Parts: sequence; C-alpha cells; structure tokens
Amino acid sequence: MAEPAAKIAGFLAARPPAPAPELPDPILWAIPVFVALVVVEMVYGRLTKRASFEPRDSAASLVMGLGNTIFGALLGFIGFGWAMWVHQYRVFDIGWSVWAFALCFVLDDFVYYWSHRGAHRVRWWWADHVVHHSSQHYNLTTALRQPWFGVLTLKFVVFGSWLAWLGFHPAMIGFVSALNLIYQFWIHTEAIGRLHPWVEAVMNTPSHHRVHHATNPRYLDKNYAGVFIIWDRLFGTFEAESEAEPCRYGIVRNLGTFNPLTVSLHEWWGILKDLWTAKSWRARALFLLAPPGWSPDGSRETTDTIKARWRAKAAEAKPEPPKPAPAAAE
Amino acid sequence: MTLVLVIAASAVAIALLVLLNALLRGWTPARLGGLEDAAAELAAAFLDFRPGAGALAQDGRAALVEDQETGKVGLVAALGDRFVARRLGPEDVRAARVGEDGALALALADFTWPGLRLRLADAATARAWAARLVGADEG
Repeated sequence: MAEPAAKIAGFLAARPPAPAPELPDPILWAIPVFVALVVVEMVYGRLTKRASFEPRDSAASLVMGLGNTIFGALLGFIGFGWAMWVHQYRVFDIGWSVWAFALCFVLDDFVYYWSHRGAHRVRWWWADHVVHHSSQHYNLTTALRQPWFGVLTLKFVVFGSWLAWLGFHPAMIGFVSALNLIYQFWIHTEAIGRLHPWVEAVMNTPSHHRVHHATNPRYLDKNYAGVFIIWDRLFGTFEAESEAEPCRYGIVRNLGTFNPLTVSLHEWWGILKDLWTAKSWRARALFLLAPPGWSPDGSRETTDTIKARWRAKAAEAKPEPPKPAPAAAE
Repeated sequence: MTLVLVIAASAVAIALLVLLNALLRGWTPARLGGLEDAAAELAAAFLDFRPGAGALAQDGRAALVEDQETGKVGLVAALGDRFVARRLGPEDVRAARVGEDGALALALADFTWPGLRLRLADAATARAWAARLVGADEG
C-alpha cells in the first residue's frame, strides 16, 4: 500500500528544471527580415495594387509592434517564471532532442489554436487581442500590430502551463512559440493569392488568415490557426475564402483613431465602463467572461447574433424553390 | 543594452517605413460619391440598416443617414482611405452644435472617436440634423 502513496508523493514533488542550453531569440533575428519584407510589399503593392498601405495606419501598426517588444521584454519574465514554476511538477523529462523540438512545435500550435479561440470568445482576453484586429488594412504591418499588456490578462496561466507540465522545458516552449509567431508574419498579406491545394489543406496561409481578419458575418470567428489549419478543420471553425465575398478587414465596430494608446486601451476602457454601470455581480462577471458584445439586455451585438441575423437574411433572400405544377385535371 | 539597441533601431526603421509609405503614395483618401455610397457603407456595418433620408458632407468625407429600422442616425466618415460607421442614438451623442460657419460639430460618447465636424449643404440642414442627433426633434 505504501508504494502507490510514495509514487504519488514523488509525482507531486517539485523537481528543479534541467539545465537549458542557450537558445537564440528568433524574433530578434527576424526583425530585419520583417522590415525588408514590408518594404518589398509596399513597393509591390504600389506597382500592382495588390496590397494597400496608408501611412498613419502603418505607423500605428508598427508602433504597436514596438510597444509589444518593449512590454514583452519588461514583463515577459512573469509568463516565463510561471512556466518554470509549473515545470517543477512535470510528468516527463522530455529533454532536448530534435524530435522534442518538433513535437513541442506541433503541440504549441495546438495550444495556440485554443488560446487564440479563447481570445476571440472571452472578452477579458479579447480586450488584449482586439488590438491585432483593429486595422482596416491587411498587410505585413498588420502582423506587427500587437497588444502591449497581454501578460496582464493571465492567459498564460490557462494556456501556458500544459506543455511545461508535460515536461517540455519553458525555454524550448518560448523558442518554438517565437517560431510560430514568425511563421504568422508572412500570412498577413493580400499580395499572395492561394497556394497549392496541399499547402492550403494543411498549413495556415494568407488566404485562410484573410478570412480570420475579415468582419463579413460569414467569416467571423473562423480560422484561428497559427501554423497548421488542420486544427480549424478538426474543430469545426474552418471557412474557406470565397471570391464571391471579398474580405472586409477590421473589427465589427471599427476605431475612429490611429492613436496607438487609444488603440491599445479602448476595449479595457469599455470593460471598465461596463463594470462600473453593471447592476449585478452576475452582469459584471459576464461583461468580463462572456463573448465580446454581450450585454444583460441583449441590446448589443455579439458575433453570434450577427451571424444569426445574416443567416436569417440570407434565408429570406433565397428564392423559394419552384412549386410542382398542379396535375392537369382529367 | 541589446534591448535598447533593438528599440532604437526599430524606431528608426519605423520612421523610415512610414516615410517610404508616404513617398510611395498609392492610397486615396476615402470619399463618398453620394448618399447611396453612405447607405452601402452603413448596410455593410449594420446588417439590418434601412436607409432613409440623409445628408452628405460637402467634401464627401462623411454623411448622416437615418436608419428606419431603429430610428437612430447612421454616421459614416472617412478615416484615411477607409470609412468608420456608427449608428447613433441620443445617448451616443454628447453634443451636436452648429457653428457660425454653418458646420455641424459632433461630440460623441465614444472612446476611439471623440467627434468630428461636418459641413453639410447649409446651416439649416445642419441644425435639423443636430436636433435629430440629440433627440430634440422627438415627440
């Protein structure tokens, strides 16, 4: 009898993390490439009209990206520290083999899918993520339009624990997460159409991600994938881009400003106002945790209500099938 | 030290990219061709929008259109080369004043869009829309 108890005790005991090799920060290396590709897309867009930029929008996106780098450097230790703490209680010692990196990359992308889905469906997390969607343009600068206060949403507690607990070293998780983000940079463009069907079947592509950034009701809350689109196909959130319905980019209630501070804080301000005026604690909880747009009296629109109205309208517009001709009287 | 260097280099790169964007041009300030364009923008933003009477700003950069579905007023205005749309009830409008120049100055209860000025056809039109926006013409 003592043996299982000892096993459980051993399982729960904290073990210091194994020493980690010195890993480079891929994002620092990628920044010059990002800049070069933005230049290429700007010039290509000017020549072909297949990409559009507006200077104030570009400036806002790029400043948001710089702010994200600064706040990430200042506050990144919080998420990393949390993962290191969780890692003490890991189930396996997975080590540093190439296969461990590859598996970590795939599993991190799986976690990213759910984290990203949560960021669209829980207002507390949306308040942070909305920044990335707040441009009405879709170009490579939009990829860099990133929030500043992500760590304060504590999303890492929910989504940043699993891989560290399984046994992947937090340094490895950080490394593959950075690769994931770098992959997502190039898909923020209108300059690339559709790729080979096999690529479109497995990978997240510019076409799939355009859908994700679109506000057309058909496209809302679709294509959450980071690198592999298979997660959307598996979990019922995939929508293909339709030539009949060009993407309209931005958010349901587009912003009337390019000011990065306002862009950064606007949904937090909305939450504060709602919490202040809410009439019950239930309403306060739902203002934080329900999907964006939820309101106690249903007077505001969520993506669900928008899609429902769109479906109803489409059904109304659909012509009735022709009735069979009455049989001729004999 | 590395971080300071990255920030400084990034700031310079941002300035150069925005300058390049400005020099290349290639974008056109958004402009409404008429009230039909305004209604189309509002219908794209609000699925149940049913356009009624409207007023177009003289420069084509903004318009007000009544929404027969909700009784509110649809506002669409250019922001760079795109449009921003709102459906305004009296609770969304802090103030609507017509200045001596005949322009309608709107102050909105909107964190990201504090307000705008529209020069409509004439001061009388502006005053009528101002009254409508603050709900003074009701009942």
